[in-house]
This record gives sequence, C-alpha cells and structure tokens, in this order.
Amino acid sequence: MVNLVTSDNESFTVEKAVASRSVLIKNMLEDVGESDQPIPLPNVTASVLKKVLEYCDHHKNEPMPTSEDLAAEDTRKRTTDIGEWDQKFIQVDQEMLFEIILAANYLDIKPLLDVGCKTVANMIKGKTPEEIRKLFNIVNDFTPEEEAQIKKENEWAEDR
Amino acid sequence: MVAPLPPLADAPIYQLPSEILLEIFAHAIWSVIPMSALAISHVCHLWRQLIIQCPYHWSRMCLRVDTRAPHLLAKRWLRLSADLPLFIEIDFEPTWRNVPATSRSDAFVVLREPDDIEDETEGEGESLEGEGEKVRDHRSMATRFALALKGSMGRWQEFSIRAKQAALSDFFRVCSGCTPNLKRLSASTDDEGGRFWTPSIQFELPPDSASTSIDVSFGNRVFSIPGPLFGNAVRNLSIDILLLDSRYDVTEPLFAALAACPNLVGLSVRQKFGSSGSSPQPRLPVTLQSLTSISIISVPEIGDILGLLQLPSLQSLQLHNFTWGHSMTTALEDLFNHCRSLSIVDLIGHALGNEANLLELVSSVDIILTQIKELRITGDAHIAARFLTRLVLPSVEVLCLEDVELELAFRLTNTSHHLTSFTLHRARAAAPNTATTTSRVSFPSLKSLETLNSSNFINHIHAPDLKSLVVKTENEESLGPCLLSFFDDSNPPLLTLNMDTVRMSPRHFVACFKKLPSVETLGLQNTNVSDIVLEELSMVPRRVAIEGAKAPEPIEQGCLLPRLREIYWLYNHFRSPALATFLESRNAALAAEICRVSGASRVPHRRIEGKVGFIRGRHVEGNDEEVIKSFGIHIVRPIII
Repeated sequence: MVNLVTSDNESFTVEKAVASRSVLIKNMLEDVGESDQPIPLPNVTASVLKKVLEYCDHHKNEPMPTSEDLAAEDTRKRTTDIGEWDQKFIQVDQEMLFEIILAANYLDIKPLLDVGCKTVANMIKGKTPEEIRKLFNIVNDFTPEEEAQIKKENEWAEDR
Repeated sequence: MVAPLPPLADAPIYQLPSEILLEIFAHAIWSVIPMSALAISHVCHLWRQLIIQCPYHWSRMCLRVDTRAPHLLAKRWLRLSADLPLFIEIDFEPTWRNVPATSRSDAFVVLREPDDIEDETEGEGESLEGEGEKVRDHRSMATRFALALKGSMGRWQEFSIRAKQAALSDFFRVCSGCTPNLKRLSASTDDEGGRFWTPSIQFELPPDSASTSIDVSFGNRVFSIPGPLFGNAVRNLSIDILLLDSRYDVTEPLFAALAACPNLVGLSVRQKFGSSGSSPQPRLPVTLQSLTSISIISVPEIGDILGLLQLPSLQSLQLHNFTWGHSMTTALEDLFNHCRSLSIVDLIGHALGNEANLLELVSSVDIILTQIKELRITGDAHIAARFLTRLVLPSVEVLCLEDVELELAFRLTNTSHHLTSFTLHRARAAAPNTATTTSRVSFPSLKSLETLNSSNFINHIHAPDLKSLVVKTENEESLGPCLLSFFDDSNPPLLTLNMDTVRMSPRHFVACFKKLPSVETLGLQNTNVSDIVLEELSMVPRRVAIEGAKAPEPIEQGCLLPRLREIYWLYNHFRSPALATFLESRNAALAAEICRVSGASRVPHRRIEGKVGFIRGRHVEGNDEEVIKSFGIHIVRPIII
C-alpha cells in the first residue's frame, strides 16, 4: 500500500497498482524502494485527489500508454470520443474539471489528462468565439491591432 | 512570449497553463470533425497569441466554401502554417448551408469575399452553356482559390476536395503540378456531369518517387489517375458511387484506373444503385500482383469485373449485395482456384429470377480451399447451395452461414479440423428426400457458437470445449429441450451465454443454468425470464453438512451460476425487486465463496457488473434503483415494446 498526503494535509492509503497509474508517483516509488514514508503531493488537494484516485482505481488493470502510443498521437488525427465510464466520471463543475486536468498534468497521468482535454475540446467545438467566452467567463481583451485584424478576418469569413 | 493573463481574470480556465491549452486546441482541431484554428484565434488575446505561434495547428485547413473568393483567408492560413506539411479539406457544397451561421461558424470556416474585392482571374474559366449564377460563382471561386493554393502543392500531405463538375475542372486545371509529399488524395463530385464524364487530376510525382505510397478515394465518379509515376504510387483505391443515377457504368473507368495502378494493395468499390443497364464490354484482363484486399459492394457487374482480374496475392475478398448466378459462381470458382493465398472470404449474395436453374449447370468437382481461415456466406445462400457444397475447407477457423440447409452446414463444417467459431442463422431443415443427420456431429475445437433459429443444429452437435454460446430465436418452441440435450451431451465449459428473444419455461431456464457452473457472463435480452427464475438464481450457496461425510459438499451446491460476474439483462419479464434481491444475495454469495477459498475473515468488496433495462411499464420500484446502482450496474432506459 502507498500513503499519499495532499496539500491540505489529508492522507490517502491506496494500492500500489492504483498509485502507480501516476508516472510521477511510480518513479518516486522506484527511486525510494520499499518504504512506509508518506508521499507528499503539495499541488493536489484532497477533494481533487479523491477524484483522481477514483479514476486510477477504475483503470488500474489497463496497460499503461507506451512511448510508441504517445509518439503516434502526434502524427494522426485524434478522436475526441470519451469512454462511457470516463464521461460520467468527468461530469463535474468547471472548477473541478480544470483542477483534475492540472492534477493529471502534475501527477503525469496521460490518459486522465487526455480525458480532461478532450472534454474541454468537446465543450468548445461547435461554438462561436463569443459563446466560448461566455461559457468560460473569458475576458475579451484583444488589443486594438488585434481587433482590426480580426475584423478583417471576419469579413473574409463572413456568412452571406 | 505569451502575454500575461489579465489581472481581473479569475475564471477557472485561467488556471490552465499554455501547454495544456495547446493540448486542448490540438484535440479540437485535429479531431474527425474539426474546429477551425481561426475561431480559436478569435476568443481572446491569450488564445490568439498561443494559436498563432503554433504553425502545426494551421497546417490543417478545412474550408467549406459558401460563396465566392476564399483566397485571402487561404493565403493567411498558409502563411501561419509556416512550411509544415498541409492537410487540406475543401468542400464547395456544404450540406448544412441552411444551418444558422452562429451554430456552425467554428466547425469549418465559411468564406465570403466582400463584393468590392478584385477578381484577378476573371474570365479564365471556360464558359458552360446554360450554367447558372451559382455555378459561375463556384467556378470563379475555385479558380481563385486554386491560385492561392497552387504555390503550396509541394507541402500537401493530405488533400480532399468536393465540388461540382465545373468547379472541379477549374480547380484542377490551375492546381496541376508536382505533389511530392502527397500521402492521401480524396476527390468527390455531387452532380452527374454527364454520363461519360471522367474528371481529370493533373498531379505529378518526381522521378525518384518509387517508394512513395498514396491512398486515393473517389466519390461519385472514378477520376482519371494522373500519370504513370502517380499510378505506380497508389496503394489503396476506394471508390464510393452514392449519389449518381443508375446510368453511370462504373466498370469502364474502374478498369482504366486499375490498369493505371499496378501496385495496388487494397481496392474498395461501393455503389448505391443497381444495374447500369449497359451490357458488358469486352476488355483486357488486368493483373494486380500486389493486391491483397478487395471489397466490392452493390456493383451490378461484379461477376464480369472479377472475371477479368488476376489477383495472385489476394488474401481478403468481400463481395456484398451481388446476385447469385452462373457468371458469379464461375468467377468465384476461378478466383478460388487461382488465389492460393486467399484466407478471408465474406459473401452476401441474393437471389433474383431463375439463378437456381443456372446453378444446376455448375460442375460437381470439389474446390479445395486450403488457405481459407474465415468464410462468411450470408444473404440468400441457399440459391448457391450446389456451388457451396463443393467447397472443402480444411483450415477454416471462422465460419458464418445463413439461410442454408442443415446438410450443407454439416458438409462445410465437416471438412474442417480447426473450426473455432461458427455462426449459423436460419438453418433450413433438410429437404424431404435428403437423408438427415441423426447422430451428433463432433466439433472438438469449437470455442464460439452463435445460432439464430437453428435449434435443430444445436440438437445435432457435440462441442465439449465450447466457451461462448449465443442463442437467438424467433419463437422456436423446441429450443429448451434442444439446449438441455446439448448441455447434457457436451457438458461445455461455457464462460459466456447470451440469449436473445428466447422463450422458454422457467423450468427450462433453471435447468439450463444448473448445467453451466462455469458461466461468468450472462446476457438475456427480450427473453421471458421472470421473477421465478431470478428467485432460483438468488439462492445463497451453502455448505451442506451431510451426516457421516468427511468433508462438506462444495460451496456451489444449491447455487446457480456461481461464477457469474457480468450481466447484460435488457427488457426481460422480471421486475426490479427480484433483480435487487438477486444482486444482494449474489454479493453475499461471492463474498462467502472468497472467504472459503482464501480463509480470509474479512469480506472483500465484490460486484457483479453490467447493464440492466426494464420494459416500458415495469418501472424500477422503491429503492431498487439505488440497490442496483450500488452494485455497479448501469440501468438503461426502457424501450417501447
């Protein structure tokens, strides 16, 4: 078993197979060898780690992505399809969604990072720039030069 | 460097670092239905800065052209993509023209040139008599767009275009030249463009392109293959004729294309409509030395085409929606006799007219197919029975038959010693004057069996190593006794059992389950399995203390399907309380079994997983939904029956 300690000082004891879905933790375990020492995760809160571990537990028996898989991803068109369980898992509010993405990035859990990024990609696809700004509360902060160029591009791309 | 975030921006998305935002953009832009990089660049300063500094994301150019000249935008796009390989998709005929712009503006860029933009190519296109304003618009735009793109042809890696005949002709007249990096070409037209019109593409490859490999797909027309160097590079050719009327004869241009592509590895031809009405023209045979895979679907001249192809390396043959007849069986026989590497055959043929009489003329010499590993013959296969009876399949591992007599099914399976998977749908009873099989036929290596309305087959086989059984029926009353008899005789170590539309008495269901202690996955769909059967399944396994015995009876005593782990139970007759009781009892049963085997005192958390659905009108009662979901079971919506 592996003991993980979050930024808000909460401990989680999980199977090694679950914790090792994180390449960061896996490498740390390999570096320190067999040890009862807790592993600090200063960039992850308890509420987020709980969700991340739920994901890792569900996928613990699946093969880890290989370097060939990762290399191939850059050279082919991607799918934004998300598995049924993963879709339900990632149905969270925006704040938690982005926290999960950040945690997956920090903990180096590529499949979870993909699920998060695909979810955001699916949220912006099919929407206009204005709709995207509204969805994520993004500020329209273009410089005057950018505004002018965008106006020109919109004229080129304007619908009849 | 990317500019810092605005100080007042506290929206959660601002937490994401640039590399993650770029990863999100990559998923959006490079998905099957892509988002435009331009739309992303119009969201905010940060997103614009990020995407503009990423030429890779501008190398996918998806343009659905709604009005006139798109060349200005294309030029900017090309500039932002730096010198990277280009993936270009152009659609002159968006199918969603009438969808409001707000709901589609970022799927593909919709182009419109302001009215006052000068058209430097005016008058270059040929004038077509009677062409309307829209066609002229497209032609003018096609030419200007082609001029904007022409300089980038050396970077094209994937190129796809869909347009009407005139626009296509204009585009390719301008965009002709060398495409040394092209890997995939797709060209499609929507209009008929005259019965004998063959669109032309003037692409070239450099002389040192011997190792170049290009996949080509054509839509609604067979385009001419551009030059011998290009033809030599084509490895896969796919032709979909879906929108044309039935007068278009695909055979003539198809043979011209095949003759121009001698190194083809894969060929797929699909036609929506039936007969072209034209009679076959005499033509020379074409040899495709490297072709390993061929798929021809709904092409009326399929027998004539096959008869003229010499395919010494063919491994996979798929012919769908053809008519069984003399020319077809002759072509197949010739193919079977000459393609010694053929290992996968998938045929869906139909009856039309008096083919049965024609097939009477077929010879009776056996055709020994030593390399065939997979054979699927479905559709109206009975019409070709005399032909199929001649097949000898000593190596077949996967066999799928439909609408054949039992005798033929046994004849084909009998010739194989390696059959592991067999699917038999709608087996016909033997003809009255034919000797029926009375003893069981042994299938020692069979692992997977699927039957539809073929209980008479199950009743005649012995399959002692069967691991997976799928039984579908359309009201076969004899199924229960047949299954019981089969289980009694073969005692198969089934891991998976699926029953679809099966109607049996509760007694038969329970008796079957009693004989299948190894089943781990059970599918029940549209069966009449009722609460009574679930009550039997809910019996908790128990040790039975027998007086005088040294050891207790096995734990499985009294428990049906003790190894069950996955259930797919959709639209059966049982109610939710019976299911909830079963799941609760089964969880306890699994825990008890684990404790017994491992000697552990704690009960590990074990679940049966899967899906359940109830027929409309049988709502999930009380807190059953909570109980069912707590076991990891997904409840699917009811259907109307």
